[in-house]
Amino acid sequence: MIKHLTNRFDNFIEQRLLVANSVVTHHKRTYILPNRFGYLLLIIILLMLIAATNYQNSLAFVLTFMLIAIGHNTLVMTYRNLLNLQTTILPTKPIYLGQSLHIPVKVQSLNSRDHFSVGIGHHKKIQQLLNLPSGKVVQTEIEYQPIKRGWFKPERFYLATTYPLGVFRVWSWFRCQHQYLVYPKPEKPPFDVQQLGYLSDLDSQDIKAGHEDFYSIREYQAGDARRDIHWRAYAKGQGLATKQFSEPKGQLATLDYRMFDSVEPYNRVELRLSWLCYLIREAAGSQTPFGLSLPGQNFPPAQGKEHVEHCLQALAEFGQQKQQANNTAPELSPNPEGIAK
Amino acid sequence: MKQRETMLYPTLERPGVVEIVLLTQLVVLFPLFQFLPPWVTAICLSCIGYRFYLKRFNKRLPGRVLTAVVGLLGGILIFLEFKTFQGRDAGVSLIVLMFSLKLMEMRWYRDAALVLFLSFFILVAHFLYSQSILMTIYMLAALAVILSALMALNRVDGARNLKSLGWASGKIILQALPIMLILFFLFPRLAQPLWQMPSGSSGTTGISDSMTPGDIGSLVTFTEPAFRVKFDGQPPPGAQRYWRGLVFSDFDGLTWSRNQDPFRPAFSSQTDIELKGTPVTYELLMEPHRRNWLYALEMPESMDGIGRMTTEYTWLRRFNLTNKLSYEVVSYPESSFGLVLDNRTRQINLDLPDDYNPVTRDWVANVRAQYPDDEAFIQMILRYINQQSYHYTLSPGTMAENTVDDFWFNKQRGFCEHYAGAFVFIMRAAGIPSRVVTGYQGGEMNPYGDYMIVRQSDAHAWTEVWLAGQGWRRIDPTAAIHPSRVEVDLSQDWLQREALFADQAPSEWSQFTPSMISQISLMWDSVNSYWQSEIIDFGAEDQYMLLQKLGFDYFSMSDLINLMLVIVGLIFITSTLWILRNRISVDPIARAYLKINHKLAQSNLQKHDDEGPLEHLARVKQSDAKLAAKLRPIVTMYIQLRYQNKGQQTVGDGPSQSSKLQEDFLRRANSFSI
Repeated sequence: MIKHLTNRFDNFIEQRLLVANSVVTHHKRTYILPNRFGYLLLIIILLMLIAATNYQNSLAFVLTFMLIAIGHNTLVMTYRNLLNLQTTILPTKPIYLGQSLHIPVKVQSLNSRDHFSVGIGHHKKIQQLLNLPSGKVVQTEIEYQPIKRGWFKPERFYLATTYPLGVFRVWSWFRCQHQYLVYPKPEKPPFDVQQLGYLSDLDSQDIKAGHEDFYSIREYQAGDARRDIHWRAYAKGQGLATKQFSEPKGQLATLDYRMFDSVEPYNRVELRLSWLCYLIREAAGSQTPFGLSLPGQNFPPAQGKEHVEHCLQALAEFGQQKQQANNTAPELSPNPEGIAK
Repeated sequence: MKQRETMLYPTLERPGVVEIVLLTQLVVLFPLFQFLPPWVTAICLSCIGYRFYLKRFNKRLPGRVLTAVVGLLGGILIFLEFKTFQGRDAGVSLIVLMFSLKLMEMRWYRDAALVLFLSFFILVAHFLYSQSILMTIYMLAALAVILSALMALNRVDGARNLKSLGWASGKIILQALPIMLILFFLFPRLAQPLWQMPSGSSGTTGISDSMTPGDIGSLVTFTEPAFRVKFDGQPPPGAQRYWRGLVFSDFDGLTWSRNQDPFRPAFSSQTDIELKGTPVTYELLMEPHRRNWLYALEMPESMDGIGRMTTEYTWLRRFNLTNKLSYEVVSYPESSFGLVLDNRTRQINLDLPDDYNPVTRDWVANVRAQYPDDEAFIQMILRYINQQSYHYTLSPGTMAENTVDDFWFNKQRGFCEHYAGAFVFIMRAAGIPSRVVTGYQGGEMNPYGDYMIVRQSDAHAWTEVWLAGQGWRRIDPTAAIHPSRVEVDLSQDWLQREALFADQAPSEWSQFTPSMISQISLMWDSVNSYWQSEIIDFGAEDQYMLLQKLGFDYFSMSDLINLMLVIVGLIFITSTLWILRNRISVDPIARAYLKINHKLAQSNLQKHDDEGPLEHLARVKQSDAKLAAKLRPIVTMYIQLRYQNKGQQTVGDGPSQSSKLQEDFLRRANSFSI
């Protein structure tokens, strides 16, 4: 029964939830309830009221009514402590599954009021308490633990405060439009990859590199592998030069999803992706050009940061519906359609 | 208890948090220390001190078992001290003890919050002891301290910014005042308590219902007011200020008490009083003395509705007075009463226990033989007091078993009770019906409040003798003491009494002028009196009267509740609307830019709606190049912030740059002037 109600409440919240990358807290989506200290205060007030009535003590009445008034005003003050705060969610670099995602967040007060102890986090959990002096932008991070590779849609952000007296909890939820890329978890394959044959070229590269039977030297260009630099010439003071081999280094190695068929007949997608992820990272680390072949997708061998990122993204997205990665920057137009209020 | 998921509670490690909670504790408990057993105070102070020490040197808190044992021992000690857990003193001691021990296990947010919320409750306990103005001011200050501590507890930076905490709590209190006042005047008050609290040691002050003169070695007088009197016209002269309260007719040899004889005529008819002399009209404001008798000057015309008259012409109420009571009286000071003495009453007022005070009895028999006339005998005794070495003192020492003998012939030192008791004894031994009367004598006019204060120190005992044809006549034997034998402290009181001998009023005493200090104390009393009557004694009756003044005649309790609910509801709606009022808060960048436009509008150079910022800048340049030069960097930054934001924000470290840019922009824009 309670679970049913909670679900209904959650659905209700979900419907009202605002989806935007920059949100200004507004009463329509701000909720308030007494917390347990609020109920404690209520009990204390009732006790005081009984004592005052029984002893017919006017000043005890004064104090009791004072507390009632303070309690009521606290409701307003706590509410106000959360209103007119602009929270901007920012994009960040992709992570590998298993790492925690730190989403950068900017919070600032839009009115001339100082806001104290505003908690920020996600779902129902506060991770940070921030003091937000008027006019100052405070930047912080919200930590998530994605449990799946792919485009991660952060759970609703949570903004809450109990300041000043800690008897009411005022909170607001919203969702951002940003999605965050989570690469598969890199895992070292438990077998010798060379055995698979597909990688022989890639791996023999290291041995080949020892031969030094290069065919020409050209001037160093950014992005050239370190190992290809003609260090000897450099040591002689001839500047940086890159050795060029007579043929492209080995046969261009292609990391193929299907190459694991012999060792891993069950076609376990996540496992294979993790292995591929590991191999890509290794190749990228050793500045080796590589290609990637996934069912339905092919990346010809190449090198460089961008290539690596594309491949990793392909791994992350593999098998998932192509989702619109909505990475538009937060709207900051002076007028409000964009600013969720 | 596990911390709940929903909230991150800040730790107590933040600067000054533990310290401010301890300070709050000290402030809240301080006024109670004078009423608690010293060892409870000692435990409290050591708890606070020890906790401070632990915090200061980062020591571990003592284990729960130890705290529990100390708490249990404390509880047992309190029970041994008071023999009960009920009553004010025992209850407060127990609460205070447990409250202090809680500090020993103050580890987390919730512990500190519990301590602070309980502090509110402890504040109420103070008002069971004192309701003075000073106490109230202190309580407001303590309230501010608690609020500051609560805010410090909830703030990220703890108690670092004490000034802002102080301001904030002051503001909270001020903002709470209106609602508090409305509730104070409109919240339905009950005329009777919900249930009778054990009165405990909430002692009664003032005159009690019996008198044992020999027992009291020395009398301490209190200057707190017993009642205040507002006279309609001139107050009567000092010698007439005898506020009659109780009559003691029964004497068991040691103690004088009220007559409880069931066979006494139940009713003394009004015709027995002959009202004479100029009437004195006044309003009397009684402090709650927790007894049921009333005071009035002799002889009140009628106080029906306020109390009922006894056969001894005293006035009783049905219930003990727990609240202030004000009543109006018309008294005729020169009246005679009790002209007809029935046999039963005569017998009661002549009765003496047989075995006591043989010396006095013999002495009276001798004197009475010489003065067979009642009037002459009375004068003789008074003169005897005046001429023999009888002293008026508050510390006569206790008397031997035959108290009258010891007083009259040995000690010859005493206060009003000794004189009144001995005098009545002598009268009765001589066959003259007489009795002791207690009440107050005198009173001090307060020039700042135009009323008279009668204090506990004005309590007095005198006598009434019955003489044929005159009825009961008041005789104050202490007034007969020769002034040279009156203690200096008492001379002022003594002077106000009926002068029995014309030669005995030394002139230097009558030229007494109130000193500076007594003037201030009189002013202070007038403030206190207002406080007492308007705030402290505000009860069901006053509430009813207030509503009548406001135009609500027949008001029932439910009407009152409705009225209060309506008003509270209105307040609630107002504050809700106030929260929800649509404050369009444009973001600061747009606001700053708009502000610049307002300034430009003065020279008619504001941006038109169909213009972009750059076009606008160009137009400004055309008419005022210097102004445009000032405007250019701002517009550039504005455009950067507004339209080039996207590019920056896709990169990881973009935001801090853009926020820096924004701060820069705001600073420049806000200081922009033409």
